[in-house]
Amino acid sequence: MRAGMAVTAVSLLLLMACGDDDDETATGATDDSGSAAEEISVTDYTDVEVTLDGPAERVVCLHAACVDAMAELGITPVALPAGTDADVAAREEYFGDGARDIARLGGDFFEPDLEDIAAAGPDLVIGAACFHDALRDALEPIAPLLLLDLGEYTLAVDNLRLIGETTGREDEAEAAVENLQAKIDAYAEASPGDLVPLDIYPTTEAPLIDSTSSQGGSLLGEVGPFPWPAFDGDSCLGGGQVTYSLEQVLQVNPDVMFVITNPSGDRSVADFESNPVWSQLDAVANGQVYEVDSTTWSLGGTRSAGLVLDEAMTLMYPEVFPEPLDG
Amino acid sequence: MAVATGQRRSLRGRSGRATAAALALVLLGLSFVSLLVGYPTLSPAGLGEILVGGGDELPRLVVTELRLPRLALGVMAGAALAGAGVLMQDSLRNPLAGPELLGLSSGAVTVVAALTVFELSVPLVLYPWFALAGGAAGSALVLGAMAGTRGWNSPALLILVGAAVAALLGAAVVAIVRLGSPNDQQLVLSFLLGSVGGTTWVDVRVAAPWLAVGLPLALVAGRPVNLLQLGEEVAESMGLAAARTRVLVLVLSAALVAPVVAVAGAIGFVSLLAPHVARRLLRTPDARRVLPAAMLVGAVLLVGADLVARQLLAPRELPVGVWTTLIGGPVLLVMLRRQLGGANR
Amino acid sequence: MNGAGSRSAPSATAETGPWAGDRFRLAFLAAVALLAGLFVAAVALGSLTLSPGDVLDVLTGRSDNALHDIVVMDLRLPRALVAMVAGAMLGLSGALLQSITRNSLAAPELTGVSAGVILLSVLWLAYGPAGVRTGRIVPLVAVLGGVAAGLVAYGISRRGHSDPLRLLLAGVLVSAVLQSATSMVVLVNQGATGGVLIWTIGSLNGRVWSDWALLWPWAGVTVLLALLSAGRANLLQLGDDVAAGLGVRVERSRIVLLIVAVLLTAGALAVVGAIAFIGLIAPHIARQLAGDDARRLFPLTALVGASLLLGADVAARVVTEPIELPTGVATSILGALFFLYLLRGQRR
Repeated sequence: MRAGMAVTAVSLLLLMACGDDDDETATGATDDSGSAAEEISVTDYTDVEVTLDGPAERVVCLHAACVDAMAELGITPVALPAGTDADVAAREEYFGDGARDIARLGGDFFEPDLEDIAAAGPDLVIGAACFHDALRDALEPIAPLLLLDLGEYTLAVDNLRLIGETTGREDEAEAAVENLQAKIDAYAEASPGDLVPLDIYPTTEAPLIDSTSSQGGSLLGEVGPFPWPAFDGDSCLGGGQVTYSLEQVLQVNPDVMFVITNPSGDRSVADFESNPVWSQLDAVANGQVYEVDSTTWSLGGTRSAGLVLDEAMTLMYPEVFPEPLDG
Repeated sequence: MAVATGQRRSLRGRSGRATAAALALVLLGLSFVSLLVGYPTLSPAGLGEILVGGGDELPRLVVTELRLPRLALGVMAGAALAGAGVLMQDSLRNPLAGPELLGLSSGAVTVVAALTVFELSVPLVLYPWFALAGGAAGSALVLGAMAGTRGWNSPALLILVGAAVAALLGAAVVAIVRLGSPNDQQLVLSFLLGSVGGTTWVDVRVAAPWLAVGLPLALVAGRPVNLLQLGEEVAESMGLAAARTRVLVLVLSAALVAPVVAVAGAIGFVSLLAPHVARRLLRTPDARRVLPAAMLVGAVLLVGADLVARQLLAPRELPVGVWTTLIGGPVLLVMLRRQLGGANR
Repeated sequence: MNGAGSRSAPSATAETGPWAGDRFRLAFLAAVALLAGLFVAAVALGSLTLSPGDVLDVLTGRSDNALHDIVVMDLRLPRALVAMVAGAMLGLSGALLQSITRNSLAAPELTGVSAGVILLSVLWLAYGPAGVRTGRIVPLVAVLGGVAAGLVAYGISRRGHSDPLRLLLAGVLVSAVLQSATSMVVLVNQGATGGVLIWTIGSLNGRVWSDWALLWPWAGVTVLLALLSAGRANLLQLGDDVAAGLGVRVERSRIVLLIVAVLLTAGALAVVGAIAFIGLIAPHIARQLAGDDARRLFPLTALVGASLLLGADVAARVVTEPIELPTGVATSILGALFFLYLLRGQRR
């Protein structure tokens, strides 16, 4: 028996020693002793300094907001997660057919396959704060990781500028930002601003709605009233969607409702109309309930911000905005 | 309120009646408060006006279409969960038995989560049946494993097996949720805790038929359950088919819990705590008396917790299940400090 | 004590009966061989297809392909090591708990440690200061949470003297309360959703050298302690009275063994999340081969636990390409199989 124990102990010690040695060999793409002239260094949302050897050209996106930013800057990502993000990339407003050549990462949104990321040979990996923080150490030998927060459209603007810096496309980034700002200003000026909207997720349980900390909420708040304050602002994803009391919703009595549905969900408007309480709201009684695409409305990019505003304003004020404004 | 009146008649003894009356009063008081507070907060006069058919349109709508059905469901669900708790604890002779432990809640939640995330179009009316099927499957897993180990006489074993099955089903739910879209995730997490927010008369109508049958049946089951409490051999010697009765009692418990889970999610700790509180108050393990008292306690717990859920962080709402567990858990821990030793019978 | 789940004391003479020395040695060597084989598989297999030649090149330093280097040395190797050691720790913890409680269905998850680990990691991920390297801090915070929860459960279950099974019952309740607190954090702060969905189920994705650096010192100490306590565990299994008669301070021994079990569990879970069932199943399998003598059971359990987790991890990565299951789902499937086995009533 002692022999067995000894064998085990020795094996463990060997393993530990093995581990120690390899600790030294892990190289990071971040250590860069020369070419200080080309080096780019930015601070991401998690206050970590991210350093690149030069402008990134091969970018791996881990979430859809990154896809949006890439489209705005005119760069095609080299890989992204299969599923929703790949679908987003394939849309006309983004990369269309060009998305077919983008490699797909295995795993899921929370835990993408690291070998696939490595195989794509990226210069930069862009992920979402709060979800991908734990990948930083694992990605160190592969590529620098830039973590961005999602929420109000102002965050999307900051993100775009940051990504522009890391890819050497600051001009394209500024152009897109100005575009969006001009669109917001144009809508704000022309909008009558008298209708109260509500963005709601399709449940007739205690209502889950967008607050002022969300993409939709922050945009609508710029062009009209949006009386749904957020609750926590500090942490990442700070309070974008909140569960409000139904009584409060009744008190505010919104004029227009945007139901943020999945592509396959098609029962939601009818659910509200047949519900005895919800049907009392002005919005439901006047038939001002519209289904909108959840992917666009919760995407968190600057291009999606423009799309959300276009959709919302043309639905709310069809006489003033029969067509989306050219931003 | 009708439930409370009916139950009072079935209790015997002075202390029993006094306890029941006190509980009923507390319930009435809480109900009254829950109808008053919110957006808008009414005055008692205003509430009275609405209840007789008058009042302004918005407050009347809020009271009749939001607060009343929510209250009704809270009372029914609290009673149902507490009744199921008593039945399970007594028939399995285990102070920690309950729908959470036997895989009932987890099984039901797994099925409903799958329905939600995979967007299978099932009408709401049928949800309790699916929840029942899921709950029955979960319980069957636990009880089957117990039978396989021939461990009927070990209450502690039940807990170990039950916790393991709950972990299994919990992992299944997490896997299902991760396959869903980010929007679904928030919804399912809320459901997992149990919530009566947004309850309307539709939900009450879905759950009511099940409970209208189940609650009286539970009260009637008090006598056989008392016999089961005495142990298998004694019960058999008194002419009770123990194994079959136990199965029937468990099926009844499942039928009490399924409609609640289907409509409100897996509200925790009410089934565990209410029976112990009732036994403490009445100082008797007699199921015939504990059942109605526990149902009252359960209703009080749930209505009270919902009041907190609505008002504490207004205007945002947290699901009632958060509060029942945060409050109920520690209370139960304290109450069971002495009794935990009893599990080693 | 209990009808089901309890076991008889180990026989004094280890050379007779079905647990004779030869059979055990054979089983031990087979376990080592299995583990070695799984280790090879873990390094060779993955979503990137590498030939055996490529792998050998990397391991001997002759590869000039940077991608191969990264995949094998920086991703697969540390992941496999973490899986092995965490699996061993969980297996040992289960064996310790089962011998303390004299019930072969006791599992590390039931001591409240998992729930403590999850709650604290989620709290840190949601509210921790920015700019701190998450990957290096979370395990430290999580370990504190796990140990604290385990100690709370122990404190609750103890009244004068601790009843081993009461500990598990208290652990179940403590877990339920902590789980609710975790859900509350998620509901109040959406950003915590990701953390919960990963930690609650457990995963080995992204476990790299920095995680190994945190794990191996802790593992070294606790595994050694566990193996050394085998003799004491044997004595406790004889029953409280007999053990006391032999001069063992029963209460104190039990506490010590429990603390070791809690430390093992917290250390492992803090790095891999709430992986379940390894601590439940590994001792079962090992007991079939080694009997109840803890001096044999514990080391074999460590090997079996290591193989189970490593095997589950390889399967999770490879079997369902390209949808990668989190490893926790694979171990849960193992748990489900274990339950089917229980259903057939073939337990000893």
